[in-house]
Amino acid sequence: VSAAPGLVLSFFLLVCAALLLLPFYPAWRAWQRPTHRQALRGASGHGDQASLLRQLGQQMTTLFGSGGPFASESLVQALVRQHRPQAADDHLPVSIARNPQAHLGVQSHRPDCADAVLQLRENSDFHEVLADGHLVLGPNSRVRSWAHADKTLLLGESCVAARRLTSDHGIALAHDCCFEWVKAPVIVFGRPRTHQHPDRDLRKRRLPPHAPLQDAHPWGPDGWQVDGDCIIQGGHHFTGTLVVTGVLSIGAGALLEGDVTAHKGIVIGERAHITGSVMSDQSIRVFNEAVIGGPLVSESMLQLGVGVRLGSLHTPTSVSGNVILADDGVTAHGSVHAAQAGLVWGPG
Amino acid sequence: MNPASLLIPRPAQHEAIRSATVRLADARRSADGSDPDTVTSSLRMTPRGALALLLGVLLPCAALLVLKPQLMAAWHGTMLWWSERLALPLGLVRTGDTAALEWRGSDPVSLMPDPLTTGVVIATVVIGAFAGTFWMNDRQGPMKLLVRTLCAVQASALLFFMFMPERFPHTLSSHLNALLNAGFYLMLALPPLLALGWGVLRLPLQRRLLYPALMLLYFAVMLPHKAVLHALVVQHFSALLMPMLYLCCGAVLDLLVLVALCAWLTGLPPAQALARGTSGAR
Repeated sequence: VSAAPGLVLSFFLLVCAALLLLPFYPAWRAWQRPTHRQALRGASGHGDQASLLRQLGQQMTTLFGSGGPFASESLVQALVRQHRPQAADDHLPVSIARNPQAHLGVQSHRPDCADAVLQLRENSDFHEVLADGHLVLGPNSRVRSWAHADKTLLLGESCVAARRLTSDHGIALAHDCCFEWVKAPVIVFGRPRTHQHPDRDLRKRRLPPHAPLQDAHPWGPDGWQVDGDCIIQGGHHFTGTLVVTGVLSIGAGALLEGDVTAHKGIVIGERAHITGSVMSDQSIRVFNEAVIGGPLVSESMLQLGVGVRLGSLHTPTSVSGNVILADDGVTAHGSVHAAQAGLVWGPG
Repeated sequence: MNPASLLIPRPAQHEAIRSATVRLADARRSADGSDPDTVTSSLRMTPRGALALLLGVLLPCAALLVLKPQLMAAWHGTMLWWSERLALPLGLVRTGDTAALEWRGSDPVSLMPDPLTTGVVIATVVIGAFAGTFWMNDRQGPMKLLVRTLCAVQASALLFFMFMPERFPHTLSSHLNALLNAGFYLMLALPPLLALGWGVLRLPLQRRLLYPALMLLYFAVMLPHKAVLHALVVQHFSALLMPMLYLCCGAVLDLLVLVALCAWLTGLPPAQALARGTSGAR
């Protein structure tokens, strides 16, 4: 190396390093800071779940309620402007100008994109719609293919979302919304609930252990199989995986640490807490304020009571059923998929 | 109460489900039937798209084939320019119309180090690097795989040179010429590869032509520099590194660079398309 002048050698090595490393910079950046995790981090960054839900609630009240200044101004503007999205190119999505608020009954057959907040009045009808910021669909709106908002996605009463709804922050569906597949860090059906039942976190309480199950035989290392129906007594603590060939009934306020599977259906009582997955070939009914930490899968119908919580911000889950009836204040984290139909069911 | 009875939906729920199913089915039907162009447009090849695709493949390939002698001459010139300044014994041999690089220094076998010095040092580095990968966590998986692959190749080279160094068939001249040839054929394959992958995205014609041209320009600049770097490493370190340089830092590295550039390009269009669409509407 000493034969070559040091400066020239250094310059040559610098040129080579730049030439060979430059193409890998984007891959390196994506490896170091994966952008697909930003959504979850952003959602977690809101702090606790209560504050995030409060934000969603405020947005819903402002946008769907009757008195919000933002909403009333928007409605007036929409009536005056009669704005219509315009396509820049046959092959490009339809583009909507910045901050279009409350367009009156926009109807579009092509992909629609908005720079920032996109707020639409009732009876809007979209094939595909994408918003860089918040996306608000007024009552009775329809999304025939998919809708995505980088921030919050709010659907007014009686909206229909035929396929995918996705958001990087949260999705709120008002009463009587029909849905198929919803995916976001926070999904709220009906009116968000910002308060919790005082006894909701059962893991902080000292519950009496459940008595050994009758007719149960060991199933795996920590599991039990029960032939026929099985009842977990309310207010008790059961640990272990449970496989039931009949109907499984979990009493109110019970804490079950493990996964449960029942072939003929599952009934989960009020404020019961299941830390693992819940699966059944038949219907599953979850009563008010119950909490399920893991995936919730039913081959038939899922009935979710008022204030049921599924997954958490830090451990998103998946909820799947042929038909899903979600009552007021059901909160899910992750994805909710209804193969036939999903409906927000509750007080209007 | 029998728990199974709690699972049966009430008549009002039945009615709501039926209504929701009908509303969703209507929306799905109208999505599928309202505008067939929207549904299949991303898969349909328009005449304009086909022409752009064809131009994106044929033009660069034809240009490369026609300009191959000039390109090779430029590469040789670049390498000789650097070798002169870096004191590398590299020259050019002309046989008829063709020219090839010639290493005028010692042959690889004579460049072989003393097995008790450089060989031991390199073996120690290989063992150390391989052992070091066991301390890498799962997130460093790609790096772990890369280091272990390099170690395996270098270890096999060490074994070969330990037992039969005289049977090593390659010279540094053939190594450099092979590098340049492999690079040229990769450049020739680049336009069709880009057309089949990145080229199916809807992009304006000028971008469809500009980006492959920029990538070819990048390879045209990078390849001779990489070849000089190989010569520099062999000259100043050891011929023991030649197999690893050829196998891991030759055509394979070029291919990795190509994949990285393709990924980079593929990540660009959506934002640009949206920006263009937005500005067009204002």
